[in-house]
Formats: sequence, C-alpha cells, structure tokens
Amino acid sequence: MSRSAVGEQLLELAQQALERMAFLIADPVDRAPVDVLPETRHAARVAIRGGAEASWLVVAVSDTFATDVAAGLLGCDAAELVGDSHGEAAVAELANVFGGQLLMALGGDRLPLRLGLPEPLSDSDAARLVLGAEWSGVLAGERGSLVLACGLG
Amino acid sequence: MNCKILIVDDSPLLRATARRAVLQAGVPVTQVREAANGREALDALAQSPADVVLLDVNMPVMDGFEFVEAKAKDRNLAATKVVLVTTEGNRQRLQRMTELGVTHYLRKPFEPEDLRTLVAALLAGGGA
Amino acid sequence: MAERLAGFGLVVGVGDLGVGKQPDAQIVTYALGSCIGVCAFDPVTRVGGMLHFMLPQPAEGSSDGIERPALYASTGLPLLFRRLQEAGALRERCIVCAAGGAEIVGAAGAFAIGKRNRTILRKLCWKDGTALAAEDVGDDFARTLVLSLVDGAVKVRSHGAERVLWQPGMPTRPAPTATRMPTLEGT
Repeated sequence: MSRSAVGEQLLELAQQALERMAFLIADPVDRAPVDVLPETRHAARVAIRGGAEASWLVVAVSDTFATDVAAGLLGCDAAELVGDSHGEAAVAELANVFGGQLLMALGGDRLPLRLGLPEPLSDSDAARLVLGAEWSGVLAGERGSLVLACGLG
Repeated sequence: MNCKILIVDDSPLLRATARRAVLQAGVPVTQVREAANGREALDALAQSPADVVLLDVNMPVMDGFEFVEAKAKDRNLAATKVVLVTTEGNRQRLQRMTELGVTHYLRKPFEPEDLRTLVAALLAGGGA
Repeated sequence: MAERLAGFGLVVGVGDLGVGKQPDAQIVTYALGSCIGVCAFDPVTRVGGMLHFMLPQPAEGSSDGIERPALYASTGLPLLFRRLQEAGALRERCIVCAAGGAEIVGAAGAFAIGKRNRTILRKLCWKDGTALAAEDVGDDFARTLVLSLVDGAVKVRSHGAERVLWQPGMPTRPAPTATRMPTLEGT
C-alpha cells in the first residue's frame, strides 16, 4: 500500500474510532493541516517501533474537540468538564488508539511492531512534525478540529 | 452484586470510562478500584483480590503483558479473570496472553456500551 | 395496502411520541427512514411508549427543543421516559428497542442524518445507562416499528415482510459482541 493510501486509510479509521468510542462524527475537510494547527490546543505523538525504520503519528486537537471527545467517553455534557486535564488525557488516548490503528495498517497483526507510549507535544514540536510529515489530514467535528499526521518508516 | 473489579489503564480518561461502564453494569461503587499500570495493579491485588481485572496493555512502569506474566505465576491470583481492553492486535502476543489465562479481549476503539455489556455478562457468569 | 390494527391502535407520527397502557393495544410508527423509532415497555405495569425522532438535537439557539421536543433525540428520549414514568412505568424495568436510522438517498443522505441519529441514540443510551434489548438500524430502507402492549413484543416491517425484533423469552439486555481471545490460525 502506498504511503498516501495508508494515510487516507488512517483518516478513515480515525473517523470510525471517534464515532465508536466518543460518539463524535468528524468529517475530512479540505484545509491545510498547518493552517489548522494554530487552532489546536493539545497535541501528542506516538511512535511505532520494530520495523526497518520507526513510524510515528501526531494528533493535535482544538480545545472544543478534545472536550467533546472526553464528554463522549465519560457520558456527560461538555459543559460539565472544567479544567485542562481532560484535554491532555483525550489527545493522549487518541494518539494511543490511532497509533494502534496505524500499527495494524502496517501489518502489526503479524509483524513484531510495538506501539510506544503517547508523549505530549508543545505547539512548536507539533508544527515541526506536521510540516515534515509524509502524510497529514484534518477532521472537523461539530465543534473544533483534529489534525492527524504520520511519518512512515 | 458482590464482584470486585480492578481497572488498569494509564489513561485517567479511559479509567473513568471503564468505571462508568462497570457501575452501569451493576457493580457497587465500593467494589471498583483503579490502577495506572501493572505494578500498581499487582500491589492493589496483593492488598485485596479482585474478581475481574480490566487491563490495558500499553502502559508505563509495567505494561499489561508483564502484568499477565506476573499474575500467572501467583497462585493467589489464579481465580481473577483478566479482560484486555487494548489497542494490541498482534496475534502472537495475544496468543501468548491466552496461554497465560486471559479469556476476553475488547479492542480499542471499543464502543463504551460494549464494555458495559461484557462486564454485565461476566458478572452473570456468562460472556461471549 | 391498508393496515388494520388489532384492538386499540396508537399511531405515532414523525416527530411525535405516544404512551399507552390499554392491554390489547399496539403502538406503531411508520416511515422510519433516516428517523429512528424507539419503543419501551414495562412488563410489570404493561405501560408502553414509542418515540419517532427525526434529528439528533435542535439547532443552537433555537426553541424547537421546547416547542417540538419529540422531533429530536436529545429532547425526545428523556421526554419518552418521563411520560412512561408518569403513566406508571419503572424506568429500570423497561425493555427498550430501536429501529430506523437508514442512510436514505437524497437530502437526508447527503447530511448522513441516519448515521447522526444512530450515533446520538448510542450517545444518549450511554449517558443515561439505557441498554437496548434489540435494534434494527442502518442499511438503506425504510421501516415500520410496532409495539404490542399485550406482552411487549416488538416487530419491524420492511420490504413487505415482518420480523420479530423482541418478544418475551428473549434477553432484555444485549449480548456481548464476540470478545473471546482471538486464536492463531494455521500455525
């Protein structure tokens, strides 16, 4: 599968994951990820090891998107969530889940690939990685956006 | 319903989600505990056993795989059921987990209501 | 083809809900395309009700949720359970089923209303702890949902045929999807 095909598949898997876990419908939008990044508030990276070269994935989300993910998982209204911790937790878990999906798309069911732990990213590190990514895309929810980018080893 | 549940995940968000599913399945709040990694889970079980452990795999300090290996060596934990709630999908690693006694598996991304249904079924003595 | 309902029949229209407890009655709603019909039945008091919602939630700032609550899942579902409880049903005993949420070609399909309705229903059930006993949702065809207040049996009609979605003797809570540990094949 070509690298862009893996990326497109990953975007579709991310949509399905958001719907399954967080009851959140998000659709691909034709916006450049680097243009959307300034709207994001939380970002995380996860690495996949075990192949010839390491692959990685970055997720960056706006505050409202992260809140809606957390509220969906927790079965509460977004207005009930206060503070910042749910945003960081939401983006970390999204990186974990999407990372797992990328790992499987790379043959992880039979290859000895391992998923690393999600690491929080600063705005500048997220921007640097997204700019240098082999593939990136944007999903828009009812409120807010998500940037997804990956580097394939 | 006298069933003790231990939720093991490094994500506080997933622990809270699993807690909600467990409580909705009918487990009293006093019977639900949490741990952020495999080491904390083993320590919690040493203090007081659990009937079911909902276990993530990808965790720091001690991951789920190491926890299952350690649990398999501890006869005091033989009766504790382990349910994986994880992104793990490698067939050989999952096969090894099966050999070590893990019986159920819910792959992330999961539907939260599926976790509730699975816990309810396990508590009723069933399960798929 | 004309429909004849045995005994008393309560027809729930689009964006409406109905609750009844006549022992030989049926409650029915038609034309569930992207809309979803949700029915609930208390087997002890034999109170039953049905909601036919069209959209997930009212637009922000609109008063529709107050003026037409049954049009939306977010306002209609809590209202259905409130009306059931007022009629004597106990929420925890209710057997809840759903049908509809199809992907219909046309304007509704363009906005994926069926998918949005299915997702909001799941979300609301997760939020308030409702476990659906059975559901017949998705695909691309319209359905009719029928609830019998005799025994709570639920039937779905589509493509000129009728099938039982739930009846006494069937589980009142969903069965878990296959979650046994996967085994290696061919090794």
